[in-house]
Amino acid sequence: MPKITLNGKEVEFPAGQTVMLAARGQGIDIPHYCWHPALSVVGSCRMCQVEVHGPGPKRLATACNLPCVDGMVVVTESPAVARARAGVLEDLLLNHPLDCPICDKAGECWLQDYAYEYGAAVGRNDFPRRKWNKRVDIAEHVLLDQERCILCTRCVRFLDEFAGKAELAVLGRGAHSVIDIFPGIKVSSGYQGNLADICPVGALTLKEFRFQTRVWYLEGTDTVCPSCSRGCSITLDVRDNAVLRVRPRVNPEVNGHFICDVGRFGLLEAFRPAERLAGARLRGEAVELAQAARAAAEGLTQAARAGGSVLVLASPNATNEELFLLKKVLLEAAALRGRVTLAFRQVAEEGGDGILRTGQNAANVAGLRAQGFEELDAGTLEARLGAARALFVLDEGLTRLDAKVELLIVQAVRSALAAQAGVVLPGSTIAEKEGTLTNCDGMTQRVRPALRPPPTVAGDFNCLLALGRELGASGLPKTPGEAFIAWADAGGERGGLTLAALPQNGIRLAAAAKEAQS
Amino acid sequence: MSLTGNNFAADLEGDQALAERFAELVSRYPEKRAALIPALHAVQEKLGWLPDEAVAFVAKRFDTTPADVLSVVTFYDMFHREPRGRHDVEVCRNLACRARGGDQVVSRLEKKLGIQCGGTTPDGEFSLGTFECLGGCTEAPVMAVDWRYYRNVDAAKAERIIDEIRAGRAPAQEPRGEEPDCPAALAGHEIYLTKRMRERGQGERLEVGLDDYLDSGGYDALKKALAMERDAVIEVVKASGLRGRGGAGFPCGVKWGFMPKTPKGPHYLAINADESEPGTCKDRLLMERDPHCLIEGAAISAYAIRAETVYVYVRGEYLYPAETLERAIAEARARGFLGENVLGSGVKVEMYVHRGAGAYICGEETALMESLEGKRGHPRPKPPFPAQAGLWQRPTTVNNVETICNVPYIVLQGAAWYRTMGTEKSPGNLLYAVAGRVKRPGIYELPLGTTARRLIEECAGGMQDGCRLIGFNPGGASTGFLRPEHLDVPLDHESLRSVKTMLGTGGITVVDEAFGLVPAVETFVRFFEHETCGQCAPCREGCAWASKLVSRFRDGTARLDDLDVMLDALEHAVGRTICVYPEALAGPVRLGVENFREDFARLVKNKAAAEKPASSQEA
Ligand SMILES: Cc1cc2nc3c(=O)[nH]c(=O)nc-3n(C[C@H](O)[C@H](O)[C@H](O)COP(=O)(O)O)c2cc1C
Ligand code: SF4
Ligand code: FES
Repeated sequence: MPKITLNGKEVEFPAGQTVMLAARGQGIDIPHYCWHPALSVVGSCRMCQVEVHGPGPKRLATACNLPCVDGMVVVTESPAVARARAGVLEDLLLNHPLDCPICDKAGECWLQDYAYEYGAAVGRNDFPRRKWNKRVDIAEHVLLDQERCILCTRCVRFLDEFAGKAELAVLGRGAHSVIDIFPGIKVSSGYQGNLADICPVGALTLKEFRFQTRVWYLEGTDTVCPSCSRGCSITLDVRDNAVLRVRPRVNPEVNGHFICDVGRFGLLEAFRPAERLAGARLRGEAVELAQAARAAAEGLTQAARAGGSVLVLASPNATNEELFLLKKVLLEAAALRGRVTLAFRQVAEEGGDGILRTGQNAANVAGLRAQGFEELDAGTLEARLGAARALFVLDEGLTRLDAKVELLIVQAVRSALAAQAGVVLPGSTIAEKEGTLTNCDGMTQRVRPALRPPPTVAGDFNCLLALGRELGASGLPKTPGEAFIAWADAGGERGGLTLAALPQNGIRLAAAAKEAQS
Repeated sequence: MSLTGNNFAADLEGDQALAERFAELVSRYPEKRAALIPALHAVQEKLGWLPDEAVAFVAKRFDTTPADVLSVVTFYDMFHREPRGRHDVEVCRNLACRARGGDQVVSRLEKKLGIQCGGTTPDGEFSLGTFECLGGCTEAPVMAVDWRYYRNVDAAKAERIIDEIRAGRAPAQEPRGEEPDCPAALAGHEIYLTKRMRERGQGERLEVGLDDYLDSGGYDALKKALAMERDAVIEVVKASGLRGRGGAGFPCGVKWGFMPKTPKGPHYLAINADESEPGTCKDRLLMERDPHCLIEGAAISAYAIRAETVYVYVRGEYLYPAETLERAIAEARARGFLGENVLGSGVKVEMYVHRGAGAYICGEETALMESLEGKRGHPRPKPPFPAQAGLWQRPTTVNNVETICNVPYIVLQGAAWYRTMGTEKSPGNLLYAVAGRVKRPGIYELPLGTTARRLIEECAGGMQDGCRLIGFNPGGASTGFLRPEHLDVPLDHESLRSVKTMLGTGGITVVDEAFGLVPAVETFVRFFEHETCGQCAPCREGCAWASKLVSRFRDGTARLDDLDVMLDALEHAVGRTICVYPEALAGPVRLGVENFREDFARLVKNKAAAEKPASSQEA
């Protein structure tokens, strides 16, 4: 393989690779604004300049569009490079409003960061700064501050190239250039939230996030978006036990760099449930979890003894570990043997956008199938409901139940059936869970708890554990971590993998690949 | 979008002729998008401006978003986003015209029309504006009405033109003046580029028609070339030493040699007729007076580089030259000099005129290609070079009009003949233009290496009475300013390098004492500020900053160290951007400051302030 010498070290590169990418492969992050790994390369901000010592004369070149050539010698930091970067920064700051104290981006702003690292201490500009519109309402969720903009055109390229429609543009020429929408036509993209992430400065901000917090107070938790079966990797930014921001997490195996707005803004809502099933209930009365679990176990046992069938409708958003536990609890209970059907309602697959959204609005259908839960279409569901004596509903999407069942157990965060349920068990939101989800392509990724549920909410895993205990099950995994191991082992070779050691980008597991066998 | 009582959308939708025009435009290019700017011209011709509805209409026709089209519209100075008067009056605001009273023409027109620059008369008859160099430097000041040029305009003449138009009697365009002879300089020198137009120029416009062209040996070179191997044509041009006339002076034959020898798809020849470098107006002369020479050169060049399609990118302001050329192309095609089967040789060469829309940067060859493809004129990073991936990512050669016009003569008379003119390293004749306050401004064909003194004193008859030359611009804005003691430097590529500048386009503009050197530098800096494409941060911001700094010398608020800050601001950008634009500005500014520092110093009013360091602020 051909090689370049990068900061004194020989590095191999595949044909056509740029110096920027070769450097990143070595963990060297060359400063840049306009370059973005998921967008076309324009090479216009000039921040990524490096020194090329050959072949040819010593010179500066932009790493983002400099193809590696065998024998090329590149130095990413040098006095000349530092001067070039300081020059770019002085230029970018000439007209920048310097309103960091009121800017949401402060703390994660690339202008701030690089200015700190490479900029001159004083500016020499004594002209008034350029005046533009500081509050352009360009989209449902996004505001544009034209004065802060450094014209890297990432936003323009993102909408054109990724989201598929050039809804933002550079208008005007030269120093009169400005990013804007066409008069009266706002950005309609269902991916607009990403604009705020890819903007390296505070020019594009989310209305939902404006003035909510300084970013340094946020704590990020890496997890997975449950809004559709793509299962995009996300980070939840939390302050005071509340999610203030949902961000995409780079995952080439799943979502690349971006997420859709349904995930980003929908989850914000989902994580602030105005009402939730805040504790266990028995026939409408608040009780201890153990008491509710006991009643549920007794009810199920009675139904089975009487020769009736028990239908379990699992949630398509449950983790693999919860499903494993659910299966174990109900299938291994001696009293219920032969009486239990584990199933889930078919989730329609419609309205995918050909980008990320699959149109199947559930997080773990693949996991349900792999663990052998029976997929019920509407007709079959109706018939099974009619035949069931006892019903255990974990599926929040089932909002109506006409069939007469002897026992209805509901486990959820919210459920329209809670009022008619004999037993209610308090479930947890995805932001409160530990475990894994398997997406439409069979990638199993880890979800992590970012929020603490209210003290009276035991959560899905613990509710199932309590039920299992009451049903006399033994050898149940006590934590999602243990459940993961048991589940993965049952599915095939685990190779020493644990939940904590799950690769950041997810993994294809034999357990998750197994198709339904019931 | 709210339709505020207008019918633009319905009007455009229902216009069958426009639809046909669009279809014809689209048929000229391998990709539809390339017809975008011509299509916008067509819509603006109809409406006078480009309202939102028009932009949205064009976007729909070109399968893109209105925002995308608007970004193209707003890049180009000729497209209007405000309603305009029935007549668009534009006065040149660059050096040659200003030096000869352009500013006074503007103020008289403002008074006469009762509007400010940029405004429209209440009766909707006239809009008034100024434009960067219109390419009429030797006939300065130049004024254009609906892109028909009027030359040597003074305040009285400007008024008269307005009156005539009001009375419905305006001439379609004022005939271009005859280029002055320069007997002294001509003695002993062969001329070829301007020979035909001097001898056979016909009619009001002194244009060489096809018959006259043929009668004087026209298209013989094409016949000769078609009988040669393609590579043999390249070899002759290489041997002649012909260097590009667009400014950089790159050897033409060498450039052609970069084109692949076995095409794996279409090749293109793009002829650069963007001619927007202040002080430059020779390509316009060639296109207006002798269009068949350009066509013949284009056909030969296309044959040599294995291109079947030639696009001539003509700056949008050159409406008349574009029309002349289009007409001549049609004639040439009808007679078999262009088309599917050129002169029965089996060789195909199609040629199209593509009008720009007012953006100097589109003269830079990669910006030209972007613009031709229907986009904002943003230069592309190199590599890839045009010969590898140019128009539509196909191998492309970009040559200047004058370069191409040399080709037929070289092919016909040989490399040795060509090398009898000019210097060893800069052979051939050049169309030197002399502008500013000289007695006989004009375009003079002389061998490369002629001195500015000879051009200014012998050809142009010296300075106007009462004018003193304090400096001169040797070859377009990017070449800066030299001092009177440089008058004897031969104007060729090598000699000019020794005085830290370059040949440029051969357009000389003299600066006289009354106008002043500092305003001349300011005019150019403002020009560059106006024309940067703006994609590179250092160029975009640096040009604007330099322009603000230099303007302080006019309003008397300058400190002496402003000069150093200005030079430093430009230095940020030099060698650090996508194209060489910052060099084109930094060079002349550096040279101007170096050569004329005392002129700047004189304008620093407050000496005490001048000593103080630049005020600083937190960044
Ligand atoms: C800012 C800029 C403007 C230019 N403008 C023109 C122009 O108007 N006409 C032209 O022929 N070349 C212009 N050039 C030079 C072209 O990039 C290119 O070198 C030339 O067209 C090549 O033709 P030639 O080799 O025949 O000279 C310009 C270059 C720059 C950097
Ligand atoms: S250097 Fe200036 S003109 Fe050239 S591409 Fe960059 S911004 Fe545009
Ligand atoms: S990151 Fe390379 S020029 Fe912007």
